[in-house]
This record gives sequence, structure tokens and C-alpha cells, in this order.
Amino acid sequence: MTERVILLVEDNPQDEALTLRALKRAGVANRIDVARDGQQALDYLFRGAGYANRPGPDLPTVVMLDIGLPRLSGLEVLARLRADARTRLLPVVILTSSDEDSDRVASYQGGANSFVRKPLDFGDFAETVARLGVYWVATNCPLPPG
Amino acid sequence: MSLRLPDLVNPQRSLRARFAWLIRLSGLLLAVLTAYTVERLQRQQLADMRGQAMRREALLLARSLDNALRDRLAQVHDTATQPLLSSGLWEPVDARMLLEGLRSQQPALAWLGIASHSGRVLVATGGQLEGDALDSEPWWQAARVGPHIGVPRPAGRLTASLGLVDGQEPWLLDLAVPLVDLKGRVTGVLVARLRWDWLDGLYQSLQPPALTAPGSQSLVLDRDGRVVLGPAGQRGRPLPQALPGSGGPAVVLWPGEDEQLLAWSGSGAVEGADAAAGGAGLRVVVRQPTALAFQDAQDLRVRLLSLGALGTLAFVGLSILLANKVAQPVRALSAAALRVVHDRAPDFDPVLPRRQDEVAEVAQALRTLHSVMAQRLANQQRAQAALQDLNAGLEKRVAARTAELQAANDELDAFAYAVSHDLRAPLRAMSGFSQALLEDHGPHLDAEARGYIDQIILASRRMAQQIEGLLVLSRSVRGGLSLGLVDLSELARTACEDLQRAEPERQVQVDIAPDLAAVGDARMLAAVMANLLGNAWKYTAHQPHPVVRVQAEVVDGVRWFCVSDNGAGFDMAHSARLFKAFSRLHRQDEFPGLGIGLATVARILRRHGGRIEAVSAPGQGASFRFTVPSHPNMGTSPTEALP
Repeated sequence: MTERVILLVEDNPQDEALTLRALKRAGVANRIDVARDGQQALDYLFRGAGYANRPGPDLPTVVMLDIGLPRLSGLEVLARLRADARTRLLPVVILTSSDEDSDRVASYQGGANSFVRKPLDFGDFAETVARLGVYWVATNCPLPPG
Repeated sequence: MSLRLPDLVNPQRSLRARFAWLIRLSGLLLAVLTAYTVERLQRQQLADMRGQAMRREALLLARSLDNALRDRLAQVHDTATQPLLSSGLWEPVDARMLLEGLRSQQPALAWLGIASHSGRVLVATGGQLEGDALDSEPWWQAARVGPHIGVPRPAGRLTASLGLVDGQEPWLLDLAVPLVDLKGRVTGVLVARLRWDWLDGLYQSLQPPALTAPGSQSLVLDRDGRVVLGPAGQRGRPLPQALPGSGGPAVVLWPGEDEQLLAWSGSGAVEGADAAAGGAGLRVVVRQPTALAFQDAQDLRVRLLSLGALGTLAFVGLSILLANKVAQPVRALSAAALRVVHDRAPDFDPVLPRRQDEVAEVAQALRTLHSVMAQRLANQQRAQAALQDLNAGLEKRVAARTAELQAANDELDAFAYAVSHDLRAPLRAMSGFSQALLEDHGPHLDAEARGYIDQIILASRRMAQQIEGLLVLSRSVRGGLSLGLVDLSELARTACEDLQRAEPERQVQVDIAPDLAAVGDARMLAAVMANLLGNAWKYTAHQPHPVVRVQAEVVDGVRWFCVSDNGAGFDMAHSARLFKAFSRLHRQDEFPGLGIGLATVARILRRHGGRIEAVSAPGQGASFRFTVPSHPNMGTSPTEALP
């Protein structure tokens, strides 16, 4: 069984730390790679600059994608992924602080598999992230390889 | 000057001209009347004058003729009274000699004869007519009484000895004188026959010179009214009408001739002589054609008429001239003044060179008027232009300000949204790491430290709620109004159902009037109803019998929607803070809340062009009423700042 990796695209280190902690405390032992902006996420996924020889599977099991990102926004990253045959079906969960209707609509129209709002309250946040992680790495059945 | 009538004398153009024409025609009529009246008077005067003169003439002629006849009669009488004849003892030879002597002495006598008492001619000149009977003559009986003059009559058988006169049979006038003997007995009659052409000659010689009275003619009439002397063609004819005795003058229409003025002598040639001496009874009529007799009157009339016509003509001409003289500068003046119509200044100088009369005064007045009006107009236009500039500037400024305000508002909203959004991550970090600290290192912390961390977490939560509220407030007024007919009753019911679901244990009496409709944005008005009913729900929490009402009322023609409760209420003294964000009238431990709801409600209603009021007293419940105009402000963006 191939390793199931989560790609977390998050520019805020504190959110990153809290996300990682929540996933860890929820018992998600899978490897979690982090990209700090949209471009880095694309480089990671398509083995671009700096990621040519990264270890692990070709693609992560799920991408947790923030919307407000430096360089390329989360919606732009999503568009690139959906435009590429390799990543067209890659599960992407939008995990964002935004509760704008327009963002939600744009996300789903852009091909997001899920839209999750980061709760303000840390307790809720931790629970939400934990459930997300467990769901995508354990509950959800990914596409068969190939 | 044009040929057409100047307006001042053209009756079609000017009322004054009509009067002027009326006066002119009256003048002409007066002239005609005067002329004819004067002519009539003149005719009358002339008739009197001429009549008298003609009458005198007639009398003179009559007297002359009469005298001549009388003289002849006297001669005959003298002869008759000669002793030879009066003695009655005459011999025919002697008597004939006597008669012949008289005849040769008086050639006017054509024939003389002595008739016997019985009327037989005993002796006569030349022996003519001797033996003839004269007793059948009309004058015979009269002649036996006294001297008598007969009437003219044709010569008859004497014509042969007399010869023709003008190719006509001569006429004779019988003069008869009785022969009376010494004893006074009439023994016979001496008859003399006077040549009528002799009298005619006398008559001709007595005609006045033609110069004194042109066309004047005299006619001599016998007792029967026959013309016996007169111009050729008149003799032997009677007068066209009988003459009265007064002697004239009279105007008579002569058949076949012109109208004539007549005057005549009295019925006898010499008044009184007729009866006494048995005169010839000749009447003299003098006539003159009225055309000539009244020539002067006619001339006068013609002169008067001509003068009247000329005067009228002159008056018309003069009035036209004068009217033109007045009208021309006035017309030029109006033309010059009407230059204003073509936006040119009135220019009177070329029209009125060196004038100082009333026209110039009018021109001056017009000029002054124009300059004053032009000045005023210019001032007005300047003021108007200034006003327009000002208005345009104001509009521009208002537009600019509005745009600025809108931009500022948009920016403020965006800022509020961004701030509240961006505040969430650090806040999550604060609360998250505090939680993590508590969870991971709780056992190593003493109770006080844990209490502090709890406070941090509590504060974070509260701040999170406030940020959430800010976002709601900001979002409530972002974007355009999507207007439609909104059923507020339905919105109220939905809100109450939500509240009931959240707190199923609450028993609240909800009265919602049906069919409360308003025009507005359904999403925003839903937020309004949710907030107001949420408050009512919340502040009736401590009531044993909570009641919430939604209804409409009309105050002063304005429709208000009212949400009231019988809850805690508030002190109206603090009502000013009621609709400010984060401003609360109750303690958090009494009624928790953010202080965002009513601020949101007020902003939404303001965007709809409506407003909200609150009435309450502590412990007496609260009543919030608001208006939603039928045609709310259609602005796509709020122009009011955040409260």
C-alpha cells in the first residue's frame, strides 16, 4: 500500500502548527508536507523547482488548500490543478478563514472537493481539522493507482 | 417715399385715417352744399335783380309802344275832331284829301277811312275799301263810344297796295275814333289802319343792347296773350303759361327752348289807360334764358365747388404729406428700434440727424430703455451664468463628494471586513496556543497560571464573537439591494421558528399580524426581523409570560412595522446609544450580547431609506418600530458611515 501523504498549503505558520498539532492529536500519523504559497504547492505537486527529487508518492492523498496565499492564490492553484491531466482528479479541500459566499461558489466551480471554514474557536478548529484528516486519509477511498 | 398710402392716411391701417377721411368727405359735402345753397340764394337774388330790371325794361317798352300808339291815336283823334269832319258837312273829296294828307304826313298809317254810323266805309284813302261794312269788326261798337285801338290783324285786301313785308302778308292795327258832331252825336267813325311793321320797327329800335343782358328778349302780347311782336318764330304763338298779374319774375320752361326767366309789364300797357282810352292792351314780356340769367350764380357755384374740391384735395395732400412727415421718422424709428430683434443695438443717429423734436425724444427714450434693458439683461445673464456655474460646480462637487464618500465607505467596509478577517488568524493562534499550553503543559502549571490561560481563552472567544459580529454588520450592507416584494410576516415566522428551535424549552407567545408586506431586499430584511425578534426573544427570558408581537400601524400617514415585547426594556435616557455598534444597555451577565444587532438593523433600514425608533421603559418591555418606504433609496451602496 502506497504511503498516504497530506499536502497542507498554508502561509500562516501558526495555523500550520495548530493544524499539524490537531492532526497529530487526532492520531493521523501520515506524513504531512507543507507548502507556504501557491507556487510552492504547484512546484511540489509537479516536481518543479526544489521538489524534483522529493521522496514519497507522485501525488498526495489530499491537498488542504488555503485561499489567501502569497504569489498564487488558492483558487489559482486549484485552477492549475484542474487544468492538468495528472491532477485533474486530485482531492482538494479548501480550508480557509474566508466565509465569503463568493469564495465558496468559486471554489466549488473551480472543482474543489470540499470547502471547510476554519472555525475561530480553537477547540472547534482542532476538531474540524482532525475530522478532516481522518476522513481523507482513513475513511475516503482514493482512486485506484494508475 | 413709396407710392402706397402711408398708414396714417390709409383707412385700412389706421383708425385715425378713417376719422380723417370722414372729416374730409364731410368737408367736401359741406362745400357742395354750400355751393348749391349759395347758388340758390344767388339765383334768387339774381332773379329778383334781373326780374326787376327786366320788368323795368318791359314797362319801358310797353310804355314806349303804348305812347307811340297813343300818339298815332291822338293824330287820328285830332283829325277826327277837325271841324270839317265833326261838322258832318264834309264832302267826300275834301274828306279824302284830309285823309290823304294825314296819311302822307304819317306814313305809318296804311289806310284811313271814314265809316258811316252804320259802319259802311264812306270814304277812304286811295278809295280803297270804300263801301265795305265795318260794323262786323270786333271793335266797332267800342269805337262808336270812344277812341279804340284794335288788335293786330292781317292786311287782307290792303295787301296789294301795301306790298308784302318779309314775304308775308302785312299786319295792320285798327285805330278808331268816333266822329262826333257839334251836338255830341256820333256821326261815324274815323278808322286808321296802322302798319304793324311800323310798330315792329319801333319795337326793334327799342331793343336794349345785347351786352346789357345777353340772350334777353322781349315779347309783346296782345290782349289775347298772343305774341304779336317778338323774335322770329315767336309771333302768333301764345305764351306757354298764363302770366300772373304781379309782373314776375318767374321761371318758365319754354317748350322747345331753354328754361327762361320772365318778367313782364302789368296787364295794361299803362295802368289805368286801358279802360279810359281803350289802349292797345299790349303786354311786354322780357325773357332771358336762365342759363344766361343765372350765369353768375352758376359760375359762383362752380367756383365754390372747385374751391371745395381743391381745398379737400389740398387738405388730403397736406395730410398725406404731414402724416408722411410724421410717420416716416416714426417708421424709421421703429425700424431702428426693431434692430434689437436681430440682436443689434438700436441705432437712431442715421435715422434722425439733428432732430430735436418729439420723435427725437421718443428715440432718446427708446435708446435709454434699450440700454437699461440691455444692462439688466446682461446682469441677469451674468447672474444666471454665475448661478449655472455655481450649480454645475456644486453638482460636480456633490458628485465628487458622493463618489469620495462612497469610495471611503467602500474602503471602510472593505477595511472592516479585511481587519475582522485578518484578525481571526492571530486570534485563533492566541486561543489555539493557549489551549495547547493548557493541554500539553497543564500539569506543570499551577492553578493561577491555568486561570490566566483560561482568561486568555475566554477573552479570545469573546473577541472572536465580536469579530464575527463585525463581519455580519459589514456583510449586511455590502453589495447592492436586490429589491422585491417581501412578506415581513413570513420572515418573522421563520425567525421565531429558528429561535424556538434553538431554545425549545422557551414558552413565548408570538403574535404576528398576517400579510405585512414591504418592498426591499429579502436577505437584509430577514436579518432585520431576525435581530429584532432575537432581541425580543432574549429580553423576555426572565418573564413568566413572555409575549412578542409583530404588527403594523399607520401614524401620520406613514406605515410603521412594529416589533414589541413585554421584556426587560431599557431606560430611554440611554436610547441614543441603542443603535451604535458594540454599545449595550444591559450587563453581559444579565443578557449576553455583542451590541451589533441593532446597529445592523439600523444600517439596513437606512439603506432602504427607512428608519427605526424604539420606545421602552425598564421593566415595561420594548417596542421597536421601523419604516420601509415603498420606493427605497435605489443606491447600490450605502452612503452613510459606520455608526
